[in-house]
Amino acid sequence: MLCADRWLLDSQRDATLPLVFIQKHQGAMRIMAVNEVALALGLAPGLMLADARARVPDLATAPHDPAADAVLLGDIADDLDRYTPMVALDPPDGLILDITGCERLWEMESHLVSDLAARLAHHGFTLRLALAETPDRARALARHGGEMLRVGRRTPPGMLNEERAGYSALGKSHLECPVGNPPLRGEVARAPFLGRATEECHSLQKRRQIPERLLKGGYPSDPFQGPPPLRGEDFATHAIALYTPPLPIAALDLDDARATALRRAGLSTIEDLASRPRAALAARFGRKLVDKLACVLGEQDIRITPRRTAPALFFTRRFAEPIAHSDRVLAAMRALAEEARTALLERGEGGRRFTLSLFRSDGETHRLTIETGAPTRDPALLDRLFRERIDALHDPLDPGFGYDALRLDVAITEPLEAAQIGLVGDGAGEVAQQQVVTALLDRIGVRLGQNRIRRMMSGNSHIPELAAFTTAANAPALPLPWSSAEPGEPPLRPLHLFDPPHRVEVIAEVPDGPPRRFRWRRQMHDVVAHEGPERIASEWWRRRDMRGLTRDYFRVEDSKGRRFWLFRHGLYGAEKASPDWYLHGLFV
Amino acid sequence: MPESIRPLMLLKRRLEQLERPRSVQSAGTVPLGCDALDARLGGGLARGALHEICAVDPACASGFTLMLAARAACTAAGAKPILPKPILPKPILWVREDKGERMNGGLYAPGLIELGVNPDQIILINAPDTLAALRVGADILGCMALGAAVIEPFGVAKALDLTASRRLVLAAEKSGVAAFLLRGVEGSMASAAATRWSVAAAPSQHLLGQAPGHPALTLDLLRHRGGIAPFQMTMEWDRDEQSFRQLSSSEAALPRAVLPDALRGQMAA
Repeated sequence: MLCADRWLLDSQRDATLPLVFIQKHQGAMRIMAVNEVALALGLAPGLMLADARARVPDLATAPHDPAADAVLLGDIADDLDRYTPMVALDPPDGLILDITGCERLWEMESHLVSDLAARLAHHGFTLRLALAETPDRARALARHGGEMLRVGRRTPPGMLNEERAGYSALGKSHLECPVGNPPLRGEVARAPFLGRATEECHSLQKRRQIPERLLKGGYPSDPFQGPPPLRGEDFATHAIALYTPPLPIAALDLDDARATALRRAGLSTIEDLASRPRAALAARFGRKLVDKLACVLGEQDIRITPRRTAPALFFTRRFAEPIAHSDRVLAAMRALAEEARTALLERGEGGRRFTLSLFRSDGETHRLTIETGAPTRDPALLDRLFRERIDALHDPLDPGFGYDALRLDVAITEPLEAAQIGLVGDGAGEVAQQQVVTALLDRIGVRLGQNRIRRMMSGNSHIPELAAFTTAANAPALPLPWSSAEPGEPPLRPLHLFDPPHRVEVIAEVPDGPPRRFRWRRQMHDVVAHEGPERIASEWWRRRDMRGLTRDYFRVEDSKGRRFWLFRHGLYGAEKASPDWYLHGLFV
Repeated sequence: MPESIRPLMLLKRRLEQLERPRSVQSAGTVPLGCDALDARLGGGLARGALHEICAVDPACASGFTLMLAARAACTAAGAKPILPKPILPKPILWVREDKGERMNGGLYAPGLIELGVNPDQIILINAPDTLAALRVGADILGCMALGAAVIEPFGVAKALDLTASRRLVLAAEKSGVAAFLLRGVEGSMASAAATRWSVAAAPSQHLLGQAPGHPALTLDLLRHRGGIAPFQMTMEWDRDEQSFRQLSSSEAALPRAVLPDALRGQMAA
């Protein structure tokens, strides 16, 4: 169904025609996915195209493109980041949101869910929603929950608002929204049985309908979910809250053999299984089944792995009216940064990495990330860095019709105690100066990228090109001490090093002697003074053949006074018949 | 014409106001450590000014820049030019283009130590192109906490015109940071720098056994905004003292058999 939505979004086609997505599979064109109309006509994934055409002659086809579907799902997940930072993908067409604690921004979970449903429906997606206290249960309810609320293009958005009473306030909540197989459905599970909500069936009818269904035996018989006592007029509400639609065993995602075995045993719903002793089930159908059953029943809670690492702290602001001007975006960011500062101060921490997510009203999401060299919680500094970041963007921010929500994540935090501003002397000035330089480098790093600011590190190797390297200046590192120079000696290492070394042609008096003359960059240099060789062995212990070419380094000076570092690669005779010469560096 | 004197005075006063404040004196100078050279330069190179160094030999020019920057950073920290303590002096920011590194090799930390500069003091900024390098350069020159700043555009660097160099000069004057512009080419490009040097390698005092000696440089002062006449000197860098000293043939450990004095004089000229 996700592909059908994508197809319609992309090309604005007629939604009333049967459409199937096909792919060549085992030599035949097979249907991989269908749209709502085709489903109603009895076509299903797995069917061959020829058979489908025989049944429905005016069938429209489109190539199946799972990659594009995945991209679209990722975009939807980005957009849903506005509700919670914990969003996980449930491929190929599902998303699981952990909205624990996030409902407070919306007063009630139901507001959040209805806003989400209305938003996705407005963008033209078909969806089924389920809300439960564990991810696996939410997933099972959304995908196999039977008759559920349907939110779609034909349903007026905001309809869910009428159903607020149907949601119970849960401590932990997971929202699963597969954009999934049976047509656009919005399911809100555990709590809410909402009934079929197409045009012909409205909420009031539903309310009346529910107790009847309960009497018919739809009431959960699950002993682990034991119904709490109900009181007087609250009955209807509580009944809604506790009603669980019967789930088929398909919700357990079993392999075919086990599913058949269960069916043969006469067990067709989860409730059937739940009422049996677990030990017997485990003995006959395996441990996995019992584990999965516990997950689906919500007894076992396995947390989701969000697609982005959840930030340590995040601060959200939603706007009644979308804003488009970057100054107003930054002003809102500043307000969030003030909130962040208060929270960080309480924790005694500062942030090293901040991400600003800008949620556009049409579902696009922009993300800006800045990193600082030292932990900070200064709103003015963040303001400056984000301004710099926006200026440095290759493609300027396109606000479209405006941003309607903003979130500031403090992705990485480090301890930062309140600093005492020192008096004159006792190194106070130095600390302040250090901070000034760090702030300067942060600003440049935001513009050029942090890894363009380098510092030199000792490499703990005797091989010249490995003896020193550069790393990003803000990268954590344990610096090794530098070796010191011998007093009174001339420089033994060059100021400029070529990596890789440049090959040169050398004339020497004897093959293993010092160079007399060499050609570098098409220019001849006469050697008038030399020192060497300084013999540097290869790191033979790292090589499989325990060998490697030894280098003989010479410091040479040419007739114009230029000083070079040359080496012969390989010992003459012993390691190589005619060793090559290289120029490795330039001395001052 | 007495009536024209008054407007002329007014104009003069307005121009004075427009003129930048002369902060060069207040920022002080960086002595080079060699009396003869400092005397010629009137005490040393001005801090809070831009000095342009044109390379004849790339390694020698960047070595000279590094020596000047190290001296500027040491004296900026309020210490003596020699570094007795392990405290880190003010940082030296070195902005270079990616192309420069490929062409002339990267700065090599053990080589810095051999010149008496602590590699931890240096922060390298790799700019993708000349414009970015100049922009970063103008930014870092505004920071007073720096010991020195080196900006190294690659090649002819057409973006570095009079306006761009003037921008750097103004930033340096405002903050009082010693700024060095290291150019890979010789030539008479317009620039607002306080001094312009051309640096080439000089034959060193050979040590025992015909070994190449301490770093020796031929320094050519091509231009000085303070009105000092151009001159040429051959200097040697003393790593242990962190200062320049004059290269004199009398100190040679051995008579120079390979390079006659006549030839040496010819090459120095």
